[in-house]
Amino acid sequence: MRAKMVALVGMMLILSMLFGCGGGPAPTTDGNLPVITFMGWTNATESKAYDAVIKKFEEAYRCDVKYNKVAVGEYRTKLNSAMADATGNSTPDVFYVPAGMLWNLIISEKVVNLQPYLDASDKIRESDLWELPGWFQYRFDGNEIGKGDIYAFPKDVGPWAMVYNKTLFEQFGVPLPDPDEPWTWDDLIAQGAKFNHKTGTMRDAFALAWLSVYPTVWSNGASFLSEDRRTVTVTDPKFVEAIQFISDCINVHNLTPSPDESSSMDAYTRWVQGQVAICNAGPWDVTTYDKLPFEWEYMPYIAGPSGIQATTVGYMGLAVSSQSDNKDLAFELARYLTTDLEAQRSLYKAGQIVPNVVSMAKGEYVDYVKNQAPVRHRNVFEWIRILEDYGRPQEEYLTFNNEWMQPFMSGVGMVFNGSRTALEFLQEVEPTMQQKLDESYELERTTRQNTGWMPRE
Amino acid sequence: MAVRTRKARTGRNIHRTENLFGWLFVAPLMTQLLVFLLIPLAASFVISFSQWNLISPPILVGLRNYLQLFRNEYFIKAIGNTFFLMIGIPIGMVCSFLVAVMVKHRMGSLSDLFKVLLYLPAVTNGVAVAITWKWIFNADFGLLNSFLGWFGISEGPRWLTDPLWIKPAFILMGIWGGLGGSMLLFFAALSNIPEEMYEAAEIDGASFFQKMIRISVPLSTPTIFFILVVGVIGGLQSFGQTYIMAPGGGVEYSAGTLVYFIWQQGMEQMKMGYATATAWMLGLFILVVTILQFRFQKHWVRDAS
Repeated sequence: MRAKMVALVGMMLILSMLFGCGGGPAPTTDGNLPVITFMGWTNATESKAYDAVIKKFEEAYRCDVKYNKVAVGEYRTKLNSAMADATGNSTPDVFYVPAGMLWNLIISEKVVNLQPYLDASDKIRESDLWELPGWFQYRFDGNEIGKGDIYAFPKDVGPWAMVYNKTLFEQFGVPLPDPDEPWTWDDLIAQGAKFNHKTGTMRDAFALAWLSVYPTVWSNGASFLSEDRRTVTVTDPKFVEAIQFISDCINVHNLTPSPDESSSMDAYTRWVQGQVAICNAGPWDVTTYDKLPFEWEYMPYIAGPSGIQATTVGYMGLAVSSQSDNKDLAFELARYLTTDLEAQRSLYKAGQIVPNVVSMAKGEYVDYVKNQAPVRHRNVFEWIRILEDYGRPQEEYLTFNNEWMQPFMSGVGMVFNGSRTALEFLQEVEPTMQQKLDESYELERTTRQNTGWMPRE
Repeated sequence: MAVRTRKARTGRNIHRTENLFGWLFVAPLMTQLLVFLLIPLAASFVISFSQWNLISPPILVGLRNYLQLFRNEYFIKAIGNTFFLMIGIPIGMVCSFLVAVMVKHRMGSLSDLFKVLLYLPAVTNGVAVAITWKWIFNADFGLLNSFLGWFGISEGPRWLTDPLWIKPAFILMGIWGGLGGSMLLFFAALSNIPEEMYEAAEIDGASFFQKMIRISVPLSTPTIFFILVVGVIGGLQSFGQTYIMAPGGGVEYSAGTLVYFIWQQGMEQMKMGYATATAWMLGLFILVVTILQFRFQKHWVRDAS
């Protein structure tokens, strides 16, 4: 009997220990500090930089920020699931809005209109922030993106620059690109051919990693959509010419790795290994590029036949959830991460951004990269040129959804591998793209009818 | 009388207690079935008649999702691709049957090693397999095209970037991946065939080929049927190859399968109603094909007994 009692007490003790571990309310980090949840995706370097910035915010605003770092590939699914929770308990207070998702979130009333907060804040000078590359993508007036109130702050302005491997240029005796005068398509063909080099049967150097579609199309004076973004314009002769030019660069002039060559080693890896003369870079690439075993420098983006330069800008925004219990503090966190001078300084020094604040980007940032950064780049002003002169947001992110791009993306590979001509393909694909675009606007109309969302008076 | 009543009551109590315990024992499984299968199934059926982006409340749209599906060329392509990829099922079955025969008759002294090697793909991580095959299929430096080069084919197909070749490439990969599992099942089926039957056939002067056609194949038909049903259901649900090896569905959507289409609509485009309608269509395909298989099995499947 006694043995049984001992066993029973022992079991109760073990059970109480076990349940004690998982049960009961979670201990709070600090008594009554308000808690803000923040969800985003990140890489190791960026994560470290953001941790430091968030710590400063916590100290300044006496709060606790729960930073939920999600893998890039899982982010959309996680965000969608959080949004589907009608109680709002799973929705983070502040979160990254992937490009192209904002319109849907606005008319579904999931994000806060930040304009009233912005108007009431004395900590942001709107005129000192990049409009077209930054704020443009997060404005919505009820009809189109780019106008009206602001619904998210640009995480960073995300210019997409062109960079070159200085060591490889010198090795092949190709004159370095002029920092002020962009190469034209003709220059690309003439100079790029000098990099066509083989060791045995294997190509060991290429002029270009890839020729991005948007910049090439825009630089030829064409675009995917009409100005009102209601009509697909891919059979415009200038558009056709641009796509054919990309194909010719791959198949006729052999300037970039072919799709097959890319499948054995992607163009980015070839760049990293020093086999590619010209590549692209976002600000987040700089820390990695600076560790490469060759010298590299910025160059003006290649211009089209009529001298137009263009590249993409914009990355993602920081929005505040309409279900947040602490919208004021959530707004402050979004503002702090995207426009606070001290925070921006920490982030650009970590090699993650070009500052969102214009005066800072043109002043201390350029000086820092030219004179004080561990690896200095003479042509760093190219970032500013992109932001001021020729950067544009991608058209697929300015419509309700980007499904209309799918037919183009899934078929253009046949043009790029030389199996079809651009004209043939684009004439075939345009009606499907238009149909998908019309469907997206119809989807927008019914969604809005359902939620009853109206723009602010 | 009083004794009988008490006995009857005790008997009822025992039944009631037994019933209660019975329900308690099945309750976890029933709850699981209800929560994770029946309720989601019913919910998905309702959602398939709605327009729902996960973010805002669903709107009922009647049959619109189903009607739109058949006007969507990517859905049609996905059906075609999915069924095309199933060509690999009979080919794989023939190959695995032959390998099982070889292993059973110990053709080669390393039959145990063969069994292990052949079964390896079945237990290898799918992502690792896909990445390895991506290299094998590489048009410039891949093993397959190098192999073809020995036969004078200097420029092999662009396996993964040519819409004509991507499906055969996936079929080849599928056959390799499924060989071990099917081989094991066929091996078990062949091992269950009584040796006397072969001996009797030998006395009658049957050749090896005749024994295989007249004895091994007919007596393995229950296994062939099982592999066929499971293979077709699995084939209709193929997703991983496309997701890893042909992002976006491949050139001209030549590798987009039905499940990949569902994933794209639901997770990329956030069209949950549309994706769910496609999933129900897929369920319907699987049901019809499986019913047909069971309906026709009596014409060719031998009763194991």
